[in-house]
Amino acid sequence: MLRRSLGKAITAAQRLNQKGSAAAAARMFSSANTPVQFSEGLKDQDRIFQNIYGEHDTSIKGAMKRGDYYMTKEIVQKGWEFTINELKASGLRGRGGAGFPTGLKYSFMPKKKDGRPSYLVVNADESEPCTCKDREILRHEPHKLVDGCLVVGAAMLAKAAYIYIRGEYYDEYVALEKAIAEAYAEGKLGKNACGSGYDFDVYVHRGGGAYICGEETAMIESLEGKQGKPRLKPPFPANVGLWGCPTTVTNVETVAVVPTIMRRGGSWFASFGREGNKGTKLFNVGGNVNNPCTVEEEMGVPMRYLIEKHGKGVRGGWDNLQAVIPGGVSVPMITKSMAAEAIMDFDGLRKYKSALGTGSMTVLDNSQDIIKAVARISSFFKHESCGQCTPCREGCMWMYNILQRFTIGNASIGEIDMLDEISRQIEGHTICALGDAAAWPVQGLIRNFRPLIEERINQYKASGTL
Amino acid sequence: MSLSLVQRRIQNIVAKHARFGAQSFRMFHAGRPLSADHVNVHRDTEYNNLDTMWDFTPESYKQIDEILKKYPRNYKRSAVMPLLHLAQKQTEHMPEHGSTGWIPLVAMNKIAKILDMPPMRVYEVATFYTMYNRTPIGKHNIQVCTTTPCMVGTYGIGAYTILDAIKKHLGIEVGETTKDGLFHLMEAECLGACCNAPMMQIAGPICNDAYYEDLTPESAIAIIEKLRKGETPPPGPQNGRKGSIGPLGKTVLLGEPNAPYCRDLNAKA
Repeated sequence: MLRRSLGKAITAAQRLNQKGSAAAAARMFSSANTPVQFSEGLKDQDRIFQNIYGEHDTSIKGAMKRGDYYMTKEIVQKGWEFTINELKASGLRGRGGAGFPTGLKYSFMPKKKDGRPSYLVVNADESEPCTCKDREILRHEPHKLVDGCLVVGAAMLAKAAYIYIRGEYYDEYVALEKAIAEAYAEGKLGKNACGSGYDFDVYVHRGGGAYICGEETAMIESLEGKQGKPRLKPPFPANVGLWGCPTTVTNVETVAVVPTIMRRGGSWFASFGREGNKGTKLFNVGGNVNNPCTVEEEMGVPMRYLIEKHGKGVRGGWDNLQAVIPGGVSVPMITKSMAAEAIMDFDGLRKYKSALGTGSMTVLDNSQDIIKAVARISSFFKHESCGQCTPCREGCMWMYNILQRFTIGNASIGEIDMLDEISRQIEGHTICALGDAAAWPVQGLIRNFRPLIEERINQYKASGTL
Repeated sequence: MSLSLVQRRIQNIVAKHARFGAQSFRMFHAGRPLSADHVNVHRDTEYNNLDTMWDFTPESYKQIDEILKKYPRNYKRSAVMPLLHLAQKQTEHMPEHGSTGWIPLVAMNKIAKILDMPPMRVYEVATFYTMYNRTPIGKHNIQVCTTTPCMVGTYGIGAYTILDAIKKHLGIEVGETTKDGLFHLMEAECLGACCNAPMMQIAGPICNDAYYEDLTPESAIAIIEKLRKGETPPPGPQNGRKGSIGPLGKTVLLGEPNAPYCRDLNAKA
């Protein structure tokens, strides 16, 4: 999901966190915490999404048996300060990719009313390649999301929530609409939602197949019935958002975990992971593994553990691993030696100049052509660029064209640096973060796999085809 | 040294442009034609012009009333996307307007009228989003996801293997429709089912945008053949796995789910 627009704010927040996390980070990165030492993993009773595989009843009855809507009334009645404080204590960071501290973000919403209503917009426009975690929530745990909308919406004093679901997720949309209809029928939504005295509505809005609408301001534009082209910030959506009203755009998973955090306590959630990277998270293990799956694990789980335990190993064994894209294609890919040590959390992957993103990894084994894989990523961004900013609109095309030639080696060595330079001209020079997202995988390729590109160029030259 | 007349003319042209600071002489340059899903112009055709007979059905009008309730009364135009979806869905069941879901020009004008917005704003939205077809395509729109995770594939079968198999089977290229108007083939960007790669989505009156996951060339062709017979192929993973549980079985959530629990909310931390 495209929420990297918060990038700058994140770095500020991380700077704030650095002091506290320095000791913890040192502990995690020391040899005492190598993946071999990590043997336990998350216990089943500590998993928030108990029905992520859809094996149990997904209707409201089944959901209530698993604890959804349980004491939601009391939680809402405790007031917004309770929810925000508890979220701050839990250390939850946004699950959409940028990882902005959720409690802080939700507290930005104005509490004094000036006549404008506030809105909660839930970002279910999951279009980032490699990422399919929200889909499981939408189709198998929709009531966790609806419950979360009420709790979060009440904490923001919002009038209604709009769930923006990507247009291609038709079955998921139907499942979600069904869940909302059930919730209205049971009095969990609408006037006096859950008997709390708070009026709250939830609506679903279908997208039309544009990746850019995962960016928060583009999503707002799209909800307003326009082309999904990101807006300049400021004004931030918390001041002027949907229809000119205060709005917060937040990821599905972030919203869906909030009620459970409220019920079990912020300290329970904070007991997983390490300082600055707390809690549990849904991870996807995909690509060339034996057992591709979606799984909930605690933050800071070693990458190798995820691949070996849940992915049941790389196809052809660990030695057959070539590279891993750790969290959606917009983050730089890392090499095998990095993957052996990498820790799956926001700070753990920064060490390798990559990012956690959405925590959905794609494993590439030695049979894959990495340059071709990145060229396809560039083609994706070329296709999805909205065309507002010149660096992104033109640059994505250039990068794709150059990478196309790199796949066969029809280039000169100097062009590798030129490509890197182009990517840096795009990065940070656009309204939204799609430009950055398009640049990072290319930079990651050049940083980590430069010899491979050079080898191919030399091969092509030696073959004499010009 | 004698130059031919043509050579001299070229020299003159080059010299003339050099005066304006052009370092080299550039020949005429034209952009490449755009691919099928990017045609952003409207050309009047027999079946798609301002006089085409098209209207929302009474059932659709009822749905429109429901949709409009979702948005503030003074921001009716927010409903433009749901209405476009509705128009496209409705055309799916109207054989006189082509065989699959697409949005005729008059439908866009109608939506503009219903929502009190300039027609241009509707065209803008309809051309921006890739899911709206503005020309009729085949009855079943096969969209094979070929973005990196699907391209890499899981079982040693990448998306391009699937795509090639379908191309060969149907005898069409990407962006084309079969002669009988039954199938249209598209290459789609990430459809968000990456744990179940490779996969495809089929739009149309039978499949209703269903996802077909964990494909092999054989299972993909089997799905197409079922559609040809008018049967409904079962959506979801085609290799027997359920949802996103790994094909080798679950690694977590082995017991019964948790019972409802809530701590004492008034207790001091």
